[in-house]
Amino acid sequence: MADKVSLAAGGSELWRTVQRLLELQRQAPPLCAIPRNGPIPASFQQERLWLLQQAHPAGTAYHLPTILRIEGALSPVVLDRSLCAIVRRHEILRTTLHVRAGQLEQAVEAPPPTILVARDVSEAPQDEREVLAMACAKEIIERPFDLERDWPLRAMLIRVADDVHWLTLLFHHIAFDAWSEGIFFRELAAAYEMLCKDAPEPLPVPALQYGDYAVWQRRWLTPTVLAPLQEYWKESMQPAPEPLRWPADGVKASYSGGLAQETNAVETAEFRDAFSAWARKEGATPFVAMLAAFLAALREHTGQERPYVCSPVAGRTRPEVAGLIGYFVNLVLLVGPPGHSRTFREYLTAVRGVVAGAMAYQDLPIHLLAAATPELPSPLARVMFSYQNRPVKQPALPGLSLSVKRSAGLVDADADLFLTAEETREGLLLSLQYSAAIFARNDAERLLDAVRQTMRHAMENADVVLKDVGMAIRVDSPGPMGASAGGADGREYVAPADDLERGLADIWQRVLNVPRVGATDDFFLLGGRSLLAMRMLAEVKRSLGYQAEPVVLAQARTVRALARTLREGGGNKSAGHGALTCLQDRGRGLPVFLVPPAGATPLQFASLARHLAPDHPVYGIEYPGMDGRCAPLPSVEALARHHIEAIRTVCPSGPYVLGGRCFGGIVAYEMAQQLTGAGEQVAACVILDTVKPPGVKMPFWDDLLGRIMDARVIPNGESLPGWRKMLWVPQMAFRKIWRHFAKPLAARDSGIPPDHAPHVRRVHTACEKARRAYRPAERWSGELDVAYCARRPALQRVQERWQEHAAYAVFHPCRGAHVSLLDEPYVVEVAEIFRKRIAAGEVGRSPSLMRCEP
Amino acid sequence: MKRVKTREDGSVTVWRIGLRAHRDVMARCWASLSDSERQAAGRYARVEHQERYVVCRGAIREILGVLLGMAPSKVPLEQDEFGKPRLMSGSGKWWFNLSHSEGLALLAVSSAGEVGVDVEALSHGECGQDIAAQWFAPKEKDAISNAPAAKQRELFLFHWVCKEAVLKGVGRGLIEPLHLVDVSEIVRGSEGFARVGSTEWFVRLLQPAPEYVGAVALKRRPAVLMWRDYEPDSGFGRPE
Repeated sequence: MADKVSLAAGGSELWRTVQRLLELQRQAPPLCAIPRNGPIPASFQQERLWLLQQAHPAGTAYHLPTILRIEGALSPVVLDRSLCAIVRRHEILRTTLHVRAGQLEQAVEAPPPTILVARDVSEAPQDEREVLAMACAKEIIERPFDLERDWPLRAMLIRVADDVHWLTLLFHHIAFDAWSEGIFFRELAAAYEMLCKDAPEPLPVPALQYGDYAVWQRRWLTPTVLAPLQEYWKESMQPAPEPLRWPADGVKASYSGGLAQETNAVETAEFRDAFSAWARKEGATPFVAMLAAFLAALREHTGQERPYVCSPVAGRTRPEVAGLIGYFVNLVLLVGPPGHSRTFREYLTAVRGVVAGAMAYQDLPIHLLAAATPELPSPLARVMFSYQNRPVKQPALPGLSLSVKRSAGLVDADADLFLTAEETREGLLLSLQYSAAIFARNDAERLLDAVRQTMRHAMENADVVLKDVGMAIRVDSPGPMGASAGGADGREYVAPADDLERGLADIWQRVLNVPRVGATDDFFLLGGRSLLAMRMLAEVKRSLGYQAEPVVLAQARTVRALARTLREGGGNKSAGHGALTCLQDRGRGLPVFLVPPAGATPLQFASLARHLAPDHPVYGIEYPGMDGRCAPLPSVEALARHHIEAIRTVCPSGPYVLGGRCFGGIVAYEMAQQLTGAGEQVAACVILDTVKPPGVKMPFWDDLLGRIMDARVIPNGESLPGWRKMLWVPQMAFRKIWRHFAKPLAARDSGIPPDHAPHVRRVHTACEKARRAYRPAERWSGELDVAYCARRPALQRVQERWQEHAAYAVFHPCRGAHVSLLDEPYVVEVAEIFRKRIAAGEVGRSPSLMRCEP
Repeated sequence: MKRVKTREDGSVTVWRIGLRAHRDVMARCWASLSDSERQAAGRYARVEHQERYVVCRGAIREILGVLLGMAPSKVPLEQDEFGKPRLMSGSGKWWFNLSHSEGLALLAVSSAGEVGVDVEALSHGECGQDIAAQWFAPKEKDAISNAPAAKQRELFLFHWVCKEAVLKGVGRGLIEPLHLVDVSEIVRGSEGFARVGSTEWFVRLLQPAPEYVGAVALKRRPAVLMWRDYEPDSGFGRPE
């Protein structure tokens, strides 16, 4: 009974049991080599795998593939001889199995002259070689075994290039286990090294063989010895657990040919240590603690009270077999104790008892347990669990560089689920292997999530009742995990308050593929990206009838905020403005609105936006008419009105931060006028190199001189070497003439889609006319920041004309040229102008006033 | 992983990274991460996001490590203002951009300047008609609606990945000013130029794997565009 076990865990009962077992072990016959004068019986482990193999003869569940990529001067002959040496040394690798008179027997065959099969793909084109090599490897990996005829080891050497080979090894589990792998590669390296030096007998014949072990095992595990073991297991199993049922499973059998896929997770070293320390504090090992978490997660997932897992044990309790290759592993059955009203701590204690008992009685071969206890579900080993805290040594060959190529999905799964936890130097690696015929990848991922969550919940508070832990895992939204994972971003789940919020939450759930969306969960933190955002907005239009522009997501990132924005859109059910583009959405500071030059896109402000991140969101405003859908606006005032309407959809009230480049500076200025006139506060208005302030008409030669000076600088700010300078002016002049007379051709050259070029030109012309006609009615009452390129001293005089248009003007000479002002590295200075102005506004004092103080 | 020499003369290499990695790949990538990256990885609640983060960062470190001639864990990566990785200034003239969708990530590495890349699983092309109708240019809308129904989703995604690749090359943090970049010509010819401000971006459509489409954008046409696989045996998985 489970309770009896938990008593045993803590008490003297277990000690008595262990003593009894030690007694039995001491009574075992000696383990030594036996004379080979007849067939040898198979071991219990071989018997078990034989039965499993017979049930699914074409399955690959017990194929253990390893592909080694070997770089360097490999000698295939020496490699072959090394492999033969190992096969000669370990009889199990040349053993076949036969049924005689109802008994399974193993027959050892003579050592082979050669083992390696060779393939060469180095003649194929470079890109195809790996694909072909994998196809060759799959030949030996996927071919089923006939254990009566085939040896358990297949080896293929594939030549991929002159100095690159793939060594593909396939072991059948009936003759190999994890421990054997270490032995195999150690001996391969030793043999290779010695055979390279032409040593005569690289590996000595060992004293013992697997066959001797099998005989000894039969002599030891007589019914007398097996009886107390079976008794223990039968009693501890009362009542027998129900067969595991996966949700939405129907009657799916395991081993139904599903490929083994896996999903992996990692934990930091800090977490690994914290978990171990916590486990020890609760009186358990990390194995037991993680098993408890796994069982609790399985309880939640299946809804069953007592899920059961099997755990592999090495089975090499006798030191004599430490150096033998062969299948020694046995599985122990670990049935989850009842946990319905227990706290996690109590559950953990019960699991500890189960494990202690199982380890003490691990010598009973599991298929004998299954045979002797018909009430147990069959098959037993549907879910497996193992915890490794010793690092696995990587194979190596002297003088060569080896890497192991591993893929999932090569062979069938031998269990529905297999959770492995491996301690590494950097932390903890959790790997959940699953049968693709039974689990969708999503389900396996959710289960692994649940295990990790359970561990964390348990560490935080082990006194919580199990079913509450389960509930907490189920409703957790997938956000970043804090110590107590609540909703996304660690916040609590907030239910949607009305129909609109519910509708939005519904759409988000579908688009983001998450179980639950709260009203205050951030779209992007839930895993949203740009394409999903567009889909979400398209869905919103289709199902809820609201037309929202993507730009609204810059400010409204939660269901609640988006609902509010949609409602504020008013009767025409639209939110956001098509002319407004969000260039950068991060930051709690004041948003910055930028107007580009005439006929240009706001994307040129991308660098500036990057430098205003992460404090200030940045938006760009597009000119109406750029795509030809409407006519360009004819006056600066109309443009300013249009732009203000756009920015108001995002920022209904001030303070506003404005900026404009070239002609955009004039528009920004007019916007500042209009906003101030409407009673709004304008925190900053930055003019970026507007060559012609309002009302200024530059003399022709001044203009030309300026262009020549500018011409010395190529777009990224570096000066042209002298001789190219000479060519630049005529080149520029020619281009102007060319563009004027060959508009369609010019458009194609410059990459503007031919469709758009006329529209862009129309916008440009309209802006030019607007600029010429613009006369500000009065001085602006605020403080202008005028940034201009310092390279042109003639320009500085012109810029000083800005003083006529504002109460105060601060001048910022900048490095860079007209075209490169907003490129790296000059853009940093420009970003500084914005930052300083905004900061000064927040403090309440302006820099220029400071300058006027005595 | 193969060691490749990439010429520094305006070439771009696009690496294909399978995100359904074997645990050995996970372990190796995990081992090469910095402490802060490991902390960030440990905070992911969902294993598929964590796996994607660890494998992508590990791949970036390994690939850049080969180019810079240093061990993956020594590659000087830092976060930019948007939380995206970039090389610390002064480490070498390499630009890279990463994009992922479902089980596949593409990493574009260039020595010639800013690069943008985007990949999408075909299954994500839903609502393509609606998105195009609201936000695409007239020529693009026509191209999509004139295509046979079976191809519309794919065509929409071709347009989408081209726009995204350019916008990612221009800068991060943009909330999709889709209408500002017209890519109809590019999609028609599988490659072409898109003008953004005063820069022209060369864009090429890619077919990284069945069920995925991608595009890469550079400031000028590269002399060479190479494909490489990072851990070719990692599955891309069929997008579910």
